[in-house]
Amino acid sequence: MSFLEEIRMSLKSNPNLTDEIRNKLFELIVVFNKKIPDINLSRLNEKLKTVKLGKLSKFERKGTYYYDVFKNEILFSKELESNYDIDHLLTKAILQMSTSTETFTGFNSDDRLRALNLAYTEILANYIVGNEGDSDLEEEMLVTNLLSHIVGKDTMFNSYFTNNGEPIIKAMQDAEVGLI
Amino acid sequence: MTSIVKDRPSDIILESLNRMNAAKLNGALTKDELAKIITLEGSMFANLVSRGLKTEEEVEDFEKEIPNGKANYFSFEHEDLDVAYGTIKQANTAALYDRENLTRHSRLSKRL
Repeated sequence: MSFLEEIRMSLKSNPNLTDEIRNKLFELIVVFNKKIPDINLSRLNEKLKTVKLGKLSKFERKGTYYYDVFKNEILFSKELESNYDIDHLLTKAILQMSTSTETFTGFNSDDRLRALNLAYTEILANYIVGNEGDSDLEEEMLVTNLLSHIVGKDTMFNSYFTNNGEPIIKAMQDAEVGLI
Repeated sequence: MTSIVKDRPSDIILESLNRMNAAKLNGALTKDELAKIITLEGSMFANLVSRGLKTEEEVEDFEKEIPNGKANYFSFEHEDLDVAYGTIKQANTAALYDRENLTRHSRLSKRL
């Protein structure tokens, strides 16, 4: 069985998802795999077996989208309905599930790189499927794009998919010319 | 673990980015205020890192060069590293980067 078939079976086995969401997620995962083929999808495969979709309460957390790594939940707020691109948001969820540890996603192991991690996820989702809707992270993406010129795109990419932000911190500190 | 020293430029930038993200989430900043913060922070960072500005006076002098909240394009050079700074609109374009074609000397070349 190919790995994508395993992914399809995992989605099918998840009772929390409708057929529409299963098909949409699978379609986006195929695109993800084509655009970034070297990524190990085994973590994503595990997460897909139990992931839930839910509502984001403005009293719990602000914003329009959130992936809860602890509960393995993809949460959307009411404002989502008219202004946001669902393919883009689900692709972010796929990226976050693919890079999830028990407590964090991407390279944000201790919150130092929290906003950078969110923006880099947004940038990667843009790269994979684009974004037809609004983005809440335009300013953060601008700074992240700047930083990736300093740090190096390969360093950002490898740090994200290996859950290790230390090379980013080190590259930024190494770039502090003549100050320290 | 690489230690964080609170007055290092890189730490300041990362902490500012986190604070800005939190402030946006709470609706504490307008779009214009955000654009101004990014313009200042981005250019300050580019300078601190690329030119090695050492004094507050140098930083302040540079800040005066930046148009107030307006879209603009700066390019800084330090050795062979180009740091290009653009508008929020260009950031979205830049975010659609093509990893295969990206080189270390990539430059955002569109001017509004």
